[in-house]
Amino acid sequence: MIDPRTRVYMFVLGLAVLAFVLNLVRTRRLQERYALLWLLAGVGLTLAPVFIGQIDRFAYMLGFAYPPALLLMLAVVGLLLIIFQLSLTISHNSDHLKVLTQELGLLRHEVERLAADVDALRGEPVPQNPQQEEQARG
Amino acid sequence: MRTAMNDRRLIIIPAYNEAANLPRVLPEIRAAAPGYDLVLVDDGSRDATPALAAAHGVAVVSLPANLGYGGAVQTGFRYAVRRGYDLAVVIDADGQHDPAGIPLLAEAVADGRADVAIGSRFRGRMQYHQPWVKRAGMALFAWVVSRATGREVTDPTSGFQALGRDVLCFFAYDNYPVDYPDADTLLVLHYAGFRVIEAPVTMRERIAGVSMHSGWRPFYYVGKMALAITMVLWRQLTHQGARRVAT
Repeated sequence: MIDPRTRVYMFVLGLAVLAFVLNLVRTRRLQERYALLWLLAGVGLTLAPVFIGQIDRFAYMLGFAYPPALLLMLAVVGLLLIIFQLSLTISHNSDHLKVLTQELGLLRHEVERLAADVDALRGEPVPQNPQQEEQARG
Repeated sequence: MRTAMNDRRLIIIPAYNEAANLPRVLPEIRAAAPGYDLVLVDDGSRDATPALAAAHGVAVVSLPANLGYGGAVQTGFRYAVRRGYDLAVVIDADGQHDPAGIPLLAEAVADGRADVAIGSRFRGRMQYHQPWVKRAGMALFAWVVSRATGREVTDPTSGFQALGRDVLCFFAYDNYPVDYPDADTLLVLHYAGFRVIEAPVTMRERIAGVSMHSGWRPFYYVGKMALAITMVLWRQLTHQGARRVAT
């Protein structure tokens, strides 16, 4: 059986994780959708030391010779889920970034062309490209 | 030469840090393809690439960050579609593609023989060598595409292509990879009902600079391409294949 002190440490650690994550959401530094899996991890961390006896029995029932292996396995699966969610998000964001980058380039080209047209209509000198424009200003 | 209302042609030049090659390559392209408009898509270069292109009178679309080859080319497609071009030829800025092939590729599309004409280095004069991993991968992928499309494909990685307006629309917003269009893109084209042909062109070693096919890249390339091709075939099986979108 696990030392009662260790159970207290784990319980407190779980509460700390929950408080930390919830506070990040409160201050809008972490979006709800990315907070959910971390909150789940915090809840797991908090409840595991409370129900350690039941967890051990459940692990034996599933055929684990060494009950803590169940917890380790759940922890690894949980972390993989969180990492996988991040990979999905990165893919999604890359798509968006690509479109934004392309549109920004095209729009800038368009704006420079229009600005040159306007300058030509006004009879002012036309800057050849942004670099020269910056050099002229600097 | 080719300035009729219904035959506007564009040459798309994706470029990343190609300042060393542009002074030679741009006049070469101009000379080989009179009457074509040129747009250089600067893929976030840190050298004088955009300034040099502008100095040569080429329209420059500068991406604020480096996207990768496919992302730059797709920007060119969107430019072509929005400006109403009927045909676009993509050619590398590093001098590997001999611009003499431009009219050949463009005519194949303009006279209706194909929707996409791809310059094949293996059908043309060979002036080029590759790491063996990549060569083996390319041979395998070319075989897969040839089997799937029932048409011999010898050079699926060639970026030297002419594309008709329908294909430009098809690729402008979707269906085009951000890194390197390759055998998987050819399969997508085939399943979407486009006709793809190969034409012989000459390819040369880079004039200056470092090739993108060095070090571990060939291994990554082969793995990524195998996955991409499998996915295209799988999507086709599950009837989620590429579809033309109305544009």
